[in-house]
Amino acid sequence: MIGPLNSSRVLRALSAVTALGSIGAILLAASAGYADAPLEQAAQQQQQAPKFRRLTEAQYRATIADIFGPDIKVSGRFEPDMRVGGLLAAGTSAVSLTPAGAEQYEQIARGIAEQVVDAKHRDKLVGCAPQPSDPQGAACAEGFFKRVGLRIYRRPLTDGEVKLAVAQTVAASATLKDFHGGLAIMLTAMLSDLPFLFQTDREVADPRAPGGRTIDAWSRASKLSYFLWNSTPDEQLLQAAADGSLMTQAGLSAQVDRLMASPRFETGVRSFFDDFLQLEGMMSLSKDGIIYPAFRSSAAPAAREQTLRTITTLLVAENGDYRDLFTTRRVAMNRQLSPLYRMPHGPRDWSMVTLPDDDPRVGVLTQISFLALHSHEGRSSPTLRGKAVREVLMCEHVPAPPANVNFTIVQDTSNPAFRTTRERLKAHLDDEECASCHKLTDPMGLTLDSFDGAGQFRATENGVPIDTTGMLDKIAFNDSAGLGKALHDNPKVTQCLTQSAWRYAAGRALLPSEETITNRLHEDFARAGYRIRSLFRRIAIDPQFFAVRSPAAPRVASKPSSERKG
Amino acid sequence: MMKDMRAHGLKRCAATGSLAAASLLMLGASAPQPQSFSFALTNIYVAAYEDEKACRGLSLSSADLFLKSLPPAERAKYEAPEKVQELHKLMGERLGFKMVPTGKDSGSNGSMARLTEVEQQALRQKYNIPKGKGIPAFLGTRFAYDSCTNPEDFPFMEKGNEDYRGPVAYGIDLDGRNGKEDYVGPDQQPGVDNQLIRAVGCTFSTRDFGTPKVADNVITSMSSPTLVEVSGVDDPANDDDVTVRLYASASPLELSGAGKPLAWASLDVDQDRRFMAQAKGKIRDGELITEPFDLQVRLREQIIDSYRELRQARIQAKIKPGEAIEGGIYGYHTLASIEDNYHQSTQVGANLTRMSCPALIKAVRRYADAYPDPKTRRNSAISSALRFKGVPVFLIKPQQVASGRQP
Repeated sequence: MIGPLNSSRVLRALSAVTALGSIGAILLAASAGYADAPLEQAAQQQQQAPKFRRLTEAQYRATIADIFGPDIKVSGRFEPDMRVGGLLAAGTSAVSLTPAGAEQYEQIARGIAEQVVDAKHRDKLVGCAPQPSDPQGAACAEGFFKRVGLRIYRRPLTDGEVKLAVAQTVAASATLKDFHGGLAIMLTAMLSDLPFLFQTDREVADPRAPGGRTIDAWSRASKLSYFLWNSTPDEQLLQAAADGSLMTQAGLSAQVDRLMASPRFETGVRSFFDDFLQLEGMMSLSKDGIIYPAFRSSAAPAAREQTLRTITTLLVAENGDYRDLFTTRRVAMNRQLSPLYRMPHGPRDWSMVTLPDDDPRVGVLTQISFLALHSHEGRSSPTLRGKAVREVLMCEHVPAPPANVNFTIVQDTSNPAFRTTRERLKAHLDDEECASCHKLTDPMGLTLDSFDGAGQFRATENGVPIDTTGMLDKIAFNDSAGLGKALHDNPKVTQCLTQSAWRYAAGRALLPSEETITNRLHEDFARAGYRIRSLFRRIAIDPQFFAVRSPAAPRVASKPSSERKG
Repeated sequence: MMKDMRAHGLKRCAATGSLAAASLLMLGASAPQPQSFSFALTNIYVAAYEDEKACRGLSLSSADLFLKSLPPAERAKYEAPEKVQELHKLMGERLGFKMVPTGKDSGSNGSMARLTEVEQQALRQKYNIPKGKGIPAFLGTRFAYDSCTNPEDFPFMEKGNEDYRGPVAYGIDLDGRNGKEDYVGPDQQPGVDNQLIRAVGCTFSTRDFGTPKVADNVITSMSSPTLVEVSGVDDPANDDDVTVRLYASASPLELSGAGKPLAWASLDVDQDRRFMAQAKGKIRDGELITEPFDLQVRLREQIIDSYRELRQARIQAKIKPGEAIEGGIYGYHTLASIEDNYHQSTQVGANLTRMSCPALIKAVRRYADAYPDPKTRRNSAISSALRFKGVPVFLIKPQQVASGRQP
């Protein structure tokens, strides 16, 4: 074991050195972005899609659990993710690693490495130790890093990398007089290194297009795995990369089908919808405990879980139509949330329930997550809710309000002259500048105002019945069921989902030239009855998913060859 | 995959839970069906009427009595208020009080762990506790011997209890007579039978925590509140024939974000039949009034897993549909259940609430006014008034959980 103080200092120093060294080396190679050729014209590179995507916190945690087991704790603060175009996933190619972030990642990595080599885990996770025939443990370290390095870098280590890892381990072990301590230092360095922290698209010659380029099999494996499972490639996927089958259309399809047949596909779909619906916001959501006493601290995470369980049950387990999410009366329920719904819940755990036909709640928009997330701390907000419908579900842009807006009227919920939100908003809209944007959001947001800021149903506000009539793109309705139907039938909703799924999979913003791709995907999505499985599969086997350039650029990527190995 | 089930709709919600105006508006003018209201009681307490002149002074605690028994020099050493902890320690040492670990964890949901007689005997021998004395305490995690577990061993602590002498007390006329011992109710109703308040009405805890304005905001029996179900209600304001059922909850009371009892939680009904009771009743101008019935309610609070038993009890309570229930349980409280509460409180509880168990038990026995024991002729129950407040909840009955049905 590593001694508590000295070893920690040594570890920090050595891992910083090794991490910097290897990061530098990888940066040089990766910035060129070629796995098999060193040069390319800079102009061409500018047309390419980003090659790096930083792992999200969820992906990092899942990856560590997959490599080392779920009992390895991941402790520390992560660099914040960035939302681009409504998706955190699209921001992963727009973020870098700050010096402070690198330090944080190294601290997290050190905590992981120390657990991997500790007395409790080393037999299982390291599996060897210095022997009389291997007194310094070099052979042991080599075997360990070849095996674990493949999972960490999501590609085989080069001979040079293996040699470096063994040399560093032996040197550190000698300094510490502790083999496992030395192993932990090198492991820390690898876990702090860019090839682990960033998914990397490495180019190779396209076997089907002479002179063309595509991404190599290892990069494909990563893209597939993080898209469909939100975690690192498993052994079988890495094997498919190693034997080249992933570069063939048949091999690719087989792996996609296998990944989607796994229960872990549900995790992938959950992760997408968590990102798409921006549900991570529920974790920092707070409500005024006096105004909404039933909205306890446990309510927000439970509401997030409710929406994700509802979606995965309907879309993954039952392979339902995405549009039906807006009209369904089925919802996942537990006892944390049932008081907010004013309904009894017999089972002590989650279960799907069907709300009666006369219930005012219809579809995911009437779940607590959407209603509470897009509200203020102490009052509802038709504007925020309408804005979320436009921006999140329809991929439209609603301009931000001007800086000098006077919100006094809408904020005063006790003004006897304006007893309902509709009346307050109407008064507020006397300002024509405000009215232009509110026309986009409020007509459907007001339909949801029969749910308060915590998502609880209310028929009246200040004693006045709430008018829930509304309109969306010239379709009028009387209540949230009507709004759900309008969304169900609106093509922008499915187009938005298609485009978002593509951006999520690609991990970047949509390129203008990719409209043809998303149009084609949407047509296929419609033909398949708007099944999410179909959409995800279609994306995962699309050659453009692995292309190094957008379609508008000189087309070099084509369907993977069934003859060539990657 | 999750089980799928038909949810309790708003019609059912109104039927079992509330008649919230919102629900009625949504339901429209459908044909009226009998409805049910369910509540979790957040506190059941011996209600004390606010009357500063009702007590000549506070009843003496066991520590007060012990202090009085000390020689003057020693008494002077310990009589300062800040010396109370040392006084308690000295009292325990001098009087041979014991509080020893049993090696057991408490039972589930705040219940008492079981100790066999053999295990109890072994603890007595190991810790020099008198033969046959002491009881499992602190939910079975301790074995205790002191003036509360065995008040008969400490007769000098039977003194110093102050009778409640005020003319007004909570309660109702239980026996149909207006005797000289009877009180007048806060609403000037004559013939109020409440001898329990006479016996315990001047203790520190009753005076400080027994008034409704304080007690209604206190939550007790968190781990197993009493549940009240009023069913067969055609009209929540006036109905001559409703059924009232009592249960213990197998689920803890839940709290809102504001730290208050959470309304509309789903609470499991405990299958323990001791805490199930049923009575017919009527509603008059929103007030529920039951016929007399025998009942037990669970008292599971911090270190206590006990019960309250009342005979010929009547519930009178105001029901605010969808909001609250507030009222009282009026009947003859059995001495057995009262004494079990004192036993389980142990000397720790007595010290904290500044009471003397021997004195209170003696007073309660003295003023007991009903159910004479056929052999001893001593009364075994005492007229009493317990008040309560509750929030609307959904009751989940065991068969509904087992079958996965929504209630």
